[in-house]
Amino acid sequence: MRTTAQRSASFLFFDEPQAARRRRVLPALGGLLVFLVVLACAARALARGIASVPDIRLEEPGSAQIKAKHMEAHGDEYDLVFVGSSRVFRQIKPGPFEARLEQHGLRLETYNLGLPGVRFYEVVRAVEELMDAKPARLCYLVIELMEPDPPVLLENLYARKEIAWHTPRLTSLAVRRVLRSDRSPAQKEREIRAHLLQLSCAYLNVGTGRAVGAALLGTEEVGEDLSGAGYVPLGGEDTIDRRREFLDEVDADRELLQRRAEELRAEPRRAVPDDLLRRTLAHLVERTRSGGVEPIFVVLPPLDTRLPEVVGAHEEGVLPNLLHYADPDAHPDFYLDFRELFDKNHLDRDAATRFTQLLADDFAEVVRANEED
Amino acid sequence: MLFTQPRFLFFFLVVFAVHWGLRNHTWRKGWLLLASYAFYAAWDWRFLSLILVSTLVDYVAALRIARPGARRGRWLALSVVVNLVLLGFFKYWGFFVDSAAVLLEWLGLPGHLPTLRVLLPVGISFYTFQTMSYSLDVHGRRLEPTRSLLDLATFVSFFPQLVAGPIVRARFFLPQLSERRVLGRVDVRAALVLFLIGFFKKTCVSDNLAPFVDRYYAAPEAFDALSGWCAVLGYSIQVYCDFSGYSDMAIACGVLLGYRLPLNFDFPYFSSSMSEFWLRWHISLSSFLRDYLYIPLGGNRGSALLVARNLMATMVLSGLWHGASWLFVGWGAMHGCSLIVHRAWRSLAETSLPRRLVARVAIPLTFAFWCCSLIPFRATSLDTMWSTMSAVLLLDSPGQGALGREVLWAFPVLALVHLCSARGYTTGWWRPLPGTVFAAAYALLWAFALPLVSVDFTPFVYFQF
Repeated sequence: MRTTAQRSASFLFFDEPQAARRRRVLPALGGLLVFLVVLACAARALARGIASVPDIRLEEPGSAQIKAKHMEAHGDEYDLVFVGSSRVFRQIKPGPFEARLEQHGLRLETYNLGLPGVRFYEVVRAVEELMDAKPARLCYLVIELMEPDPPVLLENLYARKEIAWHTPRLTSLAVRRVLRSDRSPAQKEREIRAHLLQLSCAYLNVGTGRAVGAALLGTEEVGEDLSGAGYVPLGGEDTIDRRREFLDEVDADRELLQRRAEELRAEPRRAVPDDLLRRTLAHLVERTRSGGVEPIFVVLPPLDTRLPEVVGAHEEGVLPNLLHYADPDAHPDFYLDFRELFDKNHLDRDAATRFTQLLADDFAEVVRANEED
Repeated sequence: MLFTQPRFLFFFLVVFAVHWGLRNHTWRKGWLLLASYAFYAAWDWRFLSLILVSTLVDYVAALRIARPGARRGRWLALSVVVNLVLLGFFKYWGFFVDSAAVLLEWLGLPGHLPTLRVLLPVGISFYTFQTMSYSLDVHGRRLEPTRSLLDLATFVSFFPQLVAGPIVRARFFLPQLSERRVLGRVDVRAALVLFLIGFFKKTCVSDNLAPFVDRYYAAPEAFDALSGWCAVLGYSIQVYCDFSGYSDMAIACGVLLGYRLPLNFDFPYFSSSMSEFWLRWHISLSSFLRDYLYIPLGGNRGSALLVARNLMATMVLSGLWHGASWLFVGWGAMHGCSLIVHRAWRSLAETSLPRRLVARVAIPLTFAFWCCSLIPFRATSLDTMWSTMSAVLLLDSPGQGALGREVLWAFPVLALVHLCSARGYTTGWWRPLPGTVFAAAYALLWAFALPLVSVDFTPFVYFQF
C-alpha cells in the first residue's frame, strides 16, 4: 500500500528544473496571449453554434421563455408591442386597450411583452433584440422607462436575465453611470466588478449548457402563452402574500401612502438629463425609427420617482413621445387610494383596467398629433 | 472566496506573480503567510484569531515536548486539549447541549442549559487536525520541532488547503518549507490541467446535479422509485465531484506555488470493498484517523472483538467529524459495521472464490452500499431518510413524479470518463505539445467547459465541516 507521501502529487513536478528563469517568462506571456485569443474566438464561435441549436431557449425559465416563444411564432401579427417590467405585465391589458383604441378609430393588434423584474438596461436590450427580429407588422413600441441607474443585485449576479443584457456597449454604459453616481467607492468597485463579471459570463456563454442540453434532449417543454396577449393579473397564489404584506403595512402606518406621495412631490419635475442617459434614449429612438417603428415612452404608476431626467429629455426633444403618469397630483387614485393598489409597486385589477383605458386615450392622441405633424 | 470565483483568479495571479518574483525564500514564505491570512479573512476576519491561537499553542508545545527532560505528555495534552476545545466549542457546542437536554429530560431532571448561537469558523475541522498532527508527530519522535514560527504558521494557514483540506501532515509539508522552491521543477501544464479538471467536476458536474438532488430530497414521497435511484446516484456523484474537485484545485494551486499536497481521492468508486474504499476516499482524513486514533487504540492487533471496537470507535468519530448530529454518528457506525463485516468476510470467504469474480461483483456492490449510506448523510430528516430508503431498497414510493430523466444519460458518460481517467488514458497528453499548441488546446477546453457551468450558486459540500 502506498504511503501518503508516495501518493502525493509527484507527477506534477520534474526532477530537474526545465528552463532558466528568463527563458520562461516570455514564452509564458506568449502562451497567455494565445490562450486569451483562442478563448475569445472559440467563445464567439460557440455562441453562434449555441444560437443555432433548434428549439433552444436561452431566456429565463417561466414567463420570459413563454413570451419569447410566442413572439417567435406570432410576432408578425402585432402592430404594437408593450415592453417593460411587471408594471407593464400586470397593468396593461391588451384587450381593453384595443377596444378603447377602436373608439378612437384606431385598429391595432397588441401584445404585452412585459416581464417581472425587468430593469432599465434589460428594456434597452429587449428593444434592440425586437428591432433585430423586426416583426413584419410592428408599427409602435410602447417602452416603459424606469430608474436608469439600477443597483446591481448580487443575489441575481448569475441569473440569465442579468447576464443576457450585458453587451459590451450596455456594460460600458452601466459602468460609466456607476462611476458618475454618488455611491460610495466600495459600492462602485463592487458594482463595476459585477458588471464586468456578467459581461464575461455573457461573452463566454457561461451557463448556457443546460439550455443546450434541454433543447437537444427535448426535455424542456415551454408552454403556450395562455394569458391573453401577454397580460397576467395579480392575485394568484404566487402573489397573494405581497398583497397581505402591503395591507399590513398600510394598516400599521396610515400615513404611508401620503408620505410616499409627498416624497414624490418633493422631487423636481424635470432635470437636465445626464449625457449618457440622453445618448441612450436617443439611441432607442433612432433604433426603433430606423426600423419603421414609432416609439412611445411611458412612465407608469405607481413608480416612486418622477424620473425628472426623462422629463427633461422629452422637453429637450430627445424623446419625441412621452406619456408620464408618475404624478400623485395628476393621478391621485394611483398613489393615495390603497384600494386601487395591489401592493406598493402595482395597481390592482380594476385600477389596471382604468389605467389601460387612460393609456389608450393618450396613445390615440399621440398618434393623431404625429399624423398631423 | 471560492476557488471557482473569478476574484480568486485575480487573487491567485497576484500571489503567484509576487511569490515567484521574490528571490528570497523567507520573503516568499512571509508573502504566502500574508496571502493565506488574507484569503481566510475574506471568509471571516474574526476567526483569524483561532488560527493564530492554534498555531502559537502548538509552536510552543512542540518545542517544549522536544526539550530534554520535559514533561512531554503534559505539553502534548495541552496541544490536543486546546485544539479539541476550539473544535468542540465551535462545532459541537449546540450538539452537546441539545443531547444533554434530551438526556436530562429522559431522566426526569430539569434541563435548562445555556444556549448559544455559535458561528462555525470555516475550515476549523481541517486546521485543528493539522496542528494536532504536528504536536503528535513531535511527541512520537517522527518529526523534529521547527524553530521557525513562520514555517509553522505558513504550514497551518497555507491557503490552498486551509478551508477544506486535504489535511496535510506537518512531517509532509514542513520539510518542503525549509527548501527553496524552484518554478522550473513545477509541471505548470499538469497543474493547470488538474485545476481545470477540478473546476469542471465542481461547477459543471456537481453543481448541475445539485438541483435534481435537492428537488428529490425536498419531497421524496412525491417521486417514483426510479427517481429515488436517480437522486441517490446523483448525490454520490455530486459529493464526489464536489469534494474531489475542490481537492484537485487545491492541489493544483499548491503545486503552482511549488508545494506538494497529498492526493485526497484515488478513484474510490472502483473499490472492491469498504475497507479499500476508505483507503481511497478522503485519504488525508482516513489516514489521519488511522495513524492517530485506530493504531494507538490497538489497530489490527488483538482479538477480533478488540479490532471491531477499534474500527467502530474510529468510524463513529469519523462520522461525528462530518457533522454534529446523531445522524452522522449513526452514519459513522454504519460504516464501522461495514468494515467489521468485511474483515469477517475476508477471513471466511475471499480465498475460496475466484478473485476476478469477487472484483466484478464487489465493485458495484461496494458502490451501491456507499450510495445507500449517503442517504442519511443527505436526508434532511428521518422521514426523508425512510422515504428514500424505501424507494431505493424496496422500490416502493407513493409518488408518480419523474425526476428529470435527462440526468440518466449523463451517468454512463461520466462513468466512462471516470474509467478512462482511472486507467490513465487522459494523463500526460499535454507533455509533448509545443507551448502555443498547449495554450490553444487549454483555451478550447475552457471554452467548452464554461457553458456547462451551473449558474445556480452552490457552496462546496464539505465547507460545512
